[in-house]
Amino acid sequence: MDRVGIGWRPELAASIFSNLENIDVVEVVADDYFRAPKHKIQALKTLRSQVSVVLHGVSLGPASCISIDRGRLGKLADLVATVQPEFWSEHLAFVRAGGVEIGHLAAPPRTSDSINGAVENIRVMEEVVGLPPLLENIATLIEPPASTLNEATWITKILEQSDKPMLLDLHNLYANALNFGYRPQDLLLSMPLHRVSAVHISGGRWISEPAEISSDQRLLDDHVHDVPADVYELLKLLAQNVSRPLTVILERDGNYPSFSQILLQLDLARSALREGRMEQEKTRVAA
Amino acid sequence: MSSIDVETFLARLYTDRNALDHFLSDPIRVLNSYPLAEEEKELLLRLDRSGLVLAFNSFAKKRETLQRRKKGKSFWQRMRPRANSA
Repeated sequence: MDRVGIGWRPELAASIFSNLENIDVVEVVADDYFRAPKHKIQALKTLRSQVSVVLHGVSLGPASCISIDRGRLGKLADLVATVQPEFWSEHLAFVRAGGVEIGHLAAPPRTSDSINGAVENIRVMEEVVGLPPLLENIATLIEPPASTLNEATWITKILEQSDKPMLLDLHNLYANALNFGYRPQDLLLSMPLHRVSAVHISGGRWISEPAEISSDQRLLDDHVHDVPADVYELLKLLAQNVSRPLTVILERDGNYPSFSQILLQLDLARSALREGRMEQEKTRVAA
Repeated sequence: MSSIDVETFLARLYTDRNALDHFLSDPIRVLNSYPLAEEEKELLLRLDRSGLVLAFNSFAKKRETLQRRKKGKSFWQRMRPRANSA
């Protein structure tokens, strides 16, 4: 059965607890708990006793020719063992190289080398954590330099060779499509949709390119705006094209609207899923 | 050919303002100072310059936010009732 939930944010804590009947699952950023005191971990376990909890890592950066940081991986493994989430996820990104921490998720060159690096890192991640991760596509403001493969081919090869499920971030896909000249629907349909079991939805805003280089704009996936209608349409298209149940998580990192507005966005996601499933059923019956 | 060298080069461009400015003003000289294969240099010369500047700014802002959060109050500190509140 499809489910809809939200990313855990301290600013939304009270509202989330008061509205659990409208929230099927809560996604927690794992890194926020790597050095957490006991009472904070206990609070997380309390949350898990009331709603499904999934963990989302943001600092391993497995899509890299460089081996992942074993210290951080160990902390994540400990957290997974303590909290026992339903699943955990990380990003197809690199986050550090040559002793430099980028500070966020960066798209590596999409090459056979980064595919091989990613597959090996993902193998280690599963071995240490004891639970296979879902892998998420990222948004990138820069067309990944020194790439020889397109995004869909690169992601498909990593997931096939590691045999892992995908967390498909629809706003990331939407932003990359618009920023680099693809139709979002075409990019969606070129992804390995049979591997998608979880979805992120969020919003963003248009930013200007450097004036000395271009007068164009690019879409920034900033997580502080409402989900645009086009992303709900992509969610409907996804639901129309996958058979397995989907877990959809709304990501909102700031500029919080009223919680009723947030709940409305969860309901819009439910509607999109329903419509997509109905379209799938119509197609199946007509065949 | 080492993709680790390419990632190292990119990480530097994404985080070091001087490295970014030097690359934008004289990419060939900068690329020649890194242990990169010729085909890597050729690909990097065609790099998306606009996106590079946007990515640099975005990563810098993220690092600033992370630093502020590390110095800021924890969840429990924010939830603690203030003195004289209703």
